[in-house]
Amino acid sequence: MHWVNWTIVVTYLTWVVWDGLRKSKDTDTMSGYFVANKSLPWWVVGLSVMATQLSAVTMIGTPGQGATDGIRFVQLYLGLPIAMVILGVTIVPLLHGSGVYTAYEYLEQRFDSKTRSLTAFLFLISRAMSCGAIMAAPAVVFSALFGIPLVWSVALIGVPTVIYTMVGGVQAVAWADVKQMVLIIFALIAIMVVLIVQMPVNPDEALKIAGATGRLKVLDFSFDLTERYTFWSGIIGGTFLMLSYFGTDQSQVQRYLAARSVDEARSSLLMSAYWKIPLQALVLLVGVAIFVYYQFVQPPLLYNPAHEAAVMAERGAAYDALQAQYADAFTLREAAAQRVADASGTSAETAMQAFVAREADMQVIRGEALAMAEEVTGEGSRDVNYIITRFVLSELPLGLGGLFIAGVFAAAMSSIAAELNALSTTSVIDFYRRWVRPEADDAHYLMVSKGATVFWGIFACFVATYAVSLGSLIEVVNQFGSFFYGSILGVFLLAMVPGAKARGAFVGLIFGMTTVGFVAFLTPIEYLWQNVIGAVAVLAVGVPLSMIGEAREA
Amino acid sequence: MVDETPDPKPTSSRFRTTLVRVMIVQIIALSVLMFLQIRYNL
Repeated sequence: MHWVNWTIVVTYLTWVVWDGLRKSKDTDTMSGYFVANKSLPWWVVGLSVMATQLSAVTMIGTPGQGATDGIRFVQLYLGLPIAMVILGVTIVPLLHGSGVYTAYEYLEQRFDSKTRSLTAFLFLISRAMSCGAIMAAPAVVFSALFGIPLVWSVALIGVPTVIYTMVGGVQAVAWADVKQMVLIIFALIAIMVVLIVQMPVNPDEALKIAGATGRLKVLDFSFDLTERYTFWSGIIGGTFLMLSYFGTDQSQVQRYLAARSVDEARSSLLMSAYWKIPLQALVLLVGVAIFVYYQFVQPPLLYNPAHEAAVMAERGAAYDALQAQYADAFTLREAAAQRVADASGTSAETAMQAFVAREADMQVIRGEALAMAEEVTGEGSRDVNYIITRFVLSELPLGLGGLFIAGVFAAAMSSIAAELNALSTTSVIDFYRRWVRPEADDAHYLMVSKGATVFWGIFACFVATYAVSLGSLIEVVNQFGSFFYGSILGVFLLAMVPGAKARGAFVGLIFGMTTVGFVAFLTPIEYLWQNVIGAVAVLAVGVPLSMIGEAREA
Repeated sequence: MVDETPDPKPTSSRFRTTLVRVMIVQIIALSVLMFLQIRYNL
């Protein structure tokens, strides 16, 4: 990477840490450190919520998904606005008004210590693992792009994040998130503008080319439980997923507990409700625009530079032959794409079909190169994750590449900081203060909390380093997390049922997880539905069990 | 601490108003995407 781009990245990292610490006030009390004395304006909390959810995987993987698969992924977020509105009138006033530091603390007020500890424990194990996975995804990409050891790129992301999270608590995290969100949106819009300006065809022609390959297909109305992204899985499964994530995950709950009032907490969530789908569509459309751009500028055969170098070193002649075939196929596809752009009326369909055939020819050659890379390196290619990074560094004007890489750092750091902050808070409030030292002063808990942040930071860096060699751990972690979300949501829903009892909640939670485990391992039902199944299973057992207990007591 | 108690005001009318506003924004966003799908998809 050019030194100008590196300067932008380093300047940004330094500024985020320095300014995050500068904005942290009254962090010598538990209320100041954990919930900012409930003093943050709604827009700060709102941007922080959005930044936390927008991880580096979104910045790197989602445009790649847009480039290879189109914009149908946006269906995942159809339930988010509904979930935000429901949370605004249910869980937000409940948690904000109950004076708790963590969502799980409320469960002891409502049920018992057993239910609180089990849900807090489930949060800790699932989030600690996913925190490492969130760190691993960009670290692997940076390592390959810049040719630096993986440990260095993990440290480059992890160390500044741990420092400002540990020292400044939730305030440093939230204020850093504001800058990170602004940078991310600015970088995405700048890339889109540059793409439109540099595109050899006009926007209408570009959309014709994208549409010819089905990349502009947004909604799939088929009701198929084995299809991952459909309108129904998004609107039903997505609503339950978002209810679970924003309503019961401490990394999100802690943001709106820091808002000044219930109304400001609601407004902060509604910011996501308004903007999530348009923002996600923008990220995907950037990917689609890159796909169109590469119709007229020859793309690399392999986007991952480390794999490209490894294949060229070991199978130079075979790879050169593939590259020659790829160049010929590209020339034919470019001409076909131009015909799609120029076509109108009845000739359009013929031009589109010819273009789709040329595109398929290119993908066959690329498939051979990917298989070769997997054989040589012995690891899954995940080439899709390198599309946007390779594009910004080779095709965009100097400085914009650095801005995007800084944006990826921003996205990674904002998500990791929120997780570390939440992991540390839950460790201290739900375990250390509850079970080990209930009567210590604020200074003691803050010291333990800072130690916990460092511990979880090191743990996440360790997982991030090993996640890569374990290959599919990221998928495992995602599956693992989805086991718990629906069931934990079920417990919180049960808390709102009048007459629900602790025994019903605890047994319901175990039953919910068992059911989801059964569904996940033994059926082909896609993971979004597990959130619905988990929540319903908890209620199905928790409500009658509470009623039986009540009848016996009577 | 600015707000320590649950909001006592009835939320149904606010909920409806907010839901309507949020849904309008989503309908506009999805309409734009649907337009792209119908206009340009093969």
